[in-house]
Parts: sequence; C-alpha cells; structure tokens
Amino acid sequence: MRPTSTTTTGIDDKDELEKGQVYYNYSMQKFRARNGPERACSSKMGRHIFHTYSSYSRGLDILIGAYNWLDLAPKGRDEEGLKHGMAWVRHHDKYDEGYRVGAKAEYVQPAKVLRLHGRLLRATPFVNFSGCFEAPSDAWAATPTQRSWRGSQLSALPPKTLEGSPFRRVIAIARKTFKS
Amino acid sequence: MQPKLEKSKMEGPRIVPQAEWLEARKELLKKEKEFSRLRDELSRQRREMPWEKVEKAYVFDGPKGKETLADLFGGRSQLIVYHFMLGPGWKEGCPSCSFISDHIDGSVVHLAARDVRLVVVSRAPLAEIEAFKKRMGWRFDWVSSNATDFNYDYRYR
Repeated sequence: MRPTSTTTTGIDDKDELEKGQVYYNYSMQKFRARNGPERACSSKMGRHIFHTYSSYSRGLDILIGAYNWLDLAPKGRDEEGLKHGMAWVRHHDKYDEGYRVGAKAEYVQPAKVLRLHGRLLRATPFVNFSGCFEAPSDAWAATPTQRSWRGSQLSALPPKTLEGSPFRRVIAIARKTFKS
Repeated sequence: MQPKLEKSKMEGPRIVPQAEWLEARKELLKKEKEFSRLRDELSRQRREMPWEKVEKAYVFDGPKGKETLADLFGGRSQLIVYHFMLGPGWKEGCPSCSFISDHIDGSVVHLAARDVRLVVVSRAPLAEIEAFKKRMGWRFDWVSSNATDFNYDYRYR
C-alpha cells in the first residue's frame, strides 16, 4: 500500500529506520518527538488539484480558539512545568469538577487489542503518550520495562507479517528504538 | 525586557491608578496592532507560496461511499484537510487533535459560505471514525484514508 521506495519528500524508509527518526514538520525528528496533526490546503483549478500549503505542530496554534482565550487571561496558557505544552489536554468528555492538572500527569492511551494480520497484539496502557502519531500507540513505550515487554511482543512476530503491513514502518522504527 | 518580565513575575503585578493603567494599555495596543499587521503580511506571503500539482488519484471512504480528492471539495474551489490522528485499532483519537477538532463545527458553515470545504481525514477505517465521532458529538465531515497513501504523502512532509 505504501510506496516503499523514496517518497516525494526524498526521505526513504531506510533513512528513517537507521536514524530512529521520522520526517515531520519539514525536518527529521526523534521518533518520540511530540508529533502533531497537520493541516493541508488544496485548491482546485479546472481538472487539476494543487497542494498549496501544509502546517504542523505549533503552526496549528492559530486554529485553537481556546488557546486564544487563555492567552488573554492573566495566567495565560499556564503550561510551564508540564511534561509538554498540551499535557493537560483531555478529551472534552473526560474533564469533570475534580479534574486537576498534574505536572507529571499525561494522557494515557487506553488498553486495546490490535489485530494485525490475524494476530492479536495486546497492549497495556502506559504513560508518556506524548502526542499523536500515525501508528498504534503501543508501538513504543516509555520505560525500559515496558520497552523490553513491547520489544519482545514485536520481535515475536515473524518478520513476514510485517511486510506490507500498514504499520510496517513504525514497527520497524520501534524495533530500532528498543535496542538503545 | 526579559529581566523586567522576570522581576514582575517574582513580585506579582504592579497595582496602578486608572490613568496609568490606561497608558500601559495604549502602549500594548500599539504592539498588538503591529502584530496584526505582521500577521496579515505573513498570511499574504503564505498565499503567494507556489503550488504543486497533485498527481495521484486518492480515494477516501466516506459516509456516502467512495470519494475522490476532487469529491472532497464538495463543489467549492478550496479544500482544507485536517489530519486527525486516529489510527486503525485505536480506542480513541489523539487528545490534542480532539482539542483542535472541538473548534471545527462552528466554523464549517462560515467557511462553506466563503468557498472553503473543511474535511477531516484519518487512517482508521470509517466505522471506527464514526464511533469516535459519535462519542465526541462532532458533526463535521470525516473520511477514512485507510486505503490510500494520502497521509504518507502529505503528512510527513
């Protein structure tokens, strides 16, 4: 599904694998970098479609009205000391009166079962899911214990199941990451 | 400038009479106006960026079935695609994307009136997208790019 050779960015998967980095926001970044969403604009002229603009990470700040409100308030965004800027953000159905921002607390991805080519990958929740990524978030883990657990799960997969998998790229990078 | 900021942080805000407050506010207003003009200028330069032709035919899964990239324009001449990080098998979408997406519904109708279609795209299959969309109470158009290279081609660059 994914072209395995060099992409239009000139960065190929092998480069990313070797460096343990991914291409995001127009540069190579650490795999666990706080990768964020993207906005792309296109324009249609006649029968052709053109890509006119893309923006990533803090380039999307301007779209977040709540931040603009906070910027006008005395305490501002009040994000100093958090693990990362958006560490306080929760899904809107998860705030309640008792919600407090903990300096070390981060969003925790719920446990899930991922079916990959007929095999079940069981994942436990872990902290430090710091951002979002086009991958099952269980493809990486924060602590050495989790890392080795996850590493063993991944290496238990026969290499062939990784071929052609939509997650192939990320799993490959994750394996590299686990070694360090 | 920086040491002064630090100092005021340590000691708390200065409490001043109204006339003095008004002076300070007017000073800040000058900077706010300068920032507005700089932002307009930056937006102008953004619009002057060159364009690149989209060569691949992308087909997405939407509530009405298969939709090409051209279909996503929905009769408008401009399309904004927001990549929402919801991958196949995820129990819920990324919280930061959800935060941004909480701001979308109110804008969609205004954008449409200004010749812009706003569409959200994720790699999760459509059924998973719709389940999460229902939980979050969103109404915006959200399609699956699961069967395309779209995310790879446009997100990592």
